[in-house]
Amino acid sequence: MMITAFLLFIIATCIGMVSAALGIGGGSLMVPFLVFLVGLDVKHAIAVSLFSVVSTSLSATIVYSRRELVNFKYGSLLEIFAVVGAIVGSNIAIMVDERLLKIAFSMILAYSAYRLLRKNKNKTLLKNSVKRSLTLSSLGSFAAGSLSGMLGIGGGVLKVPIMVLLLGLPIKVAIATSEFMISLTASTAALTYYVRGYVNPYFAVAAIFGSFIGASVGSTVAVKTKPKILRIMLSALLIIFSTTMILSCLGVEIWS
Amino acid sequence: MVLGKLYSKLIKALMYGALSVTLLTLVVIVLNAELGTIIIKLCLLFFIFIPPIGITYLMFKSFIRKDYTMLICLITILIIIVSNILTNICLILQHLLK
Repeated sequence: MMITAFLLFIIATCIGMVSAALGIGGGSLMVPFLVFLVGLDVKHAIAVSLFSVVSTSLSATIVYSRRELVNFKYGSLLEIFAVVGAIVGSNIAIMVDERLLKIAFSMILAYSAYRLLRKNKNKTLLKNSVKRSLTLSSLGSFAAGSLSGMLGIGGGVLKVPIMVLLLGLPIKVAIATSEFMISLTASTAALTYYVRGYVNPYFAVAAIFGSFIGASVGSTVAVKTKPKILRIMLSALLIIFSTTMILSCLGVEIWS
Repeated sequence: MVLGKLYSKLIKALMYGALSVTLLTLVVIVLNAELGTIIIKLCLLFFIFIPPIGITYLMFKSFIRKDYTMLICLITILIIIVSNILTNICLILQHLLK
């Protein structure tokens, strides 16, 4: 028990560092580790992972909001559309073939990665203003919520590209706002698992402490990192997610 | 002081509070495992409630600043979160007393 909790603490620290720096929750990275390395079943792994995500996002929000990087107005507006999208998406998912969804999702991720890299060359996104209409980004956020509802993913990996590409927010602001949004979504989901008794308190505590430390380091590093490097790192992450999805459609499960 | 810094201070105080109590509880567990587990469960519950507390704070701030667009968005989010809590309130009590 003690060794497992310590292992979990180490894993949570590492994942928290990467997640906070790139504006994602880290659940999609954490769950496979908990299942295959720690040996938890999927539901218990998701429960512990959600506590880790809440800790990561809150810790990152502390650092980012102190530096005034969180755009609360857009964050709260987009979160509404994302939540509604998630409810609609989870209902649609029952009627649509999962493989089709995964292919569509991987295509969107690959395209976002390409756009992020291309924009980097043009250097057009360094302005601090919102360029595109809110309607477009709200629709984008609804779509991101729908996809996360359909595929059971956190959505941070989609929220950051949407804010950068559709709203024209600087990458650091998008990452910070995404973490603020994730803290709200993940805490709501964590409560559902908590009340159903899926949370092992000791594992959750280890994950919370690990993520908190990791995210504090990750977000501090991200604040000091050049936007160009963050863009490249985020694009690499999107490509990894996209490839994993396509491989899983072809029946190749990397994690197993 | 600007909104981000105030929000950061609030979340930091709540997080450090929750983490400190959890650390102290790990000592309590050695003395009384049952009591320690209940306190840890309460700490985890408090931990889940940190984002809604933050949202409530932002709501009041946006009301004072007369930022009604943000206020409406925050109220909507809070309604979703609170309705989720109220739906699960019986299960929360059952889980804590188990």
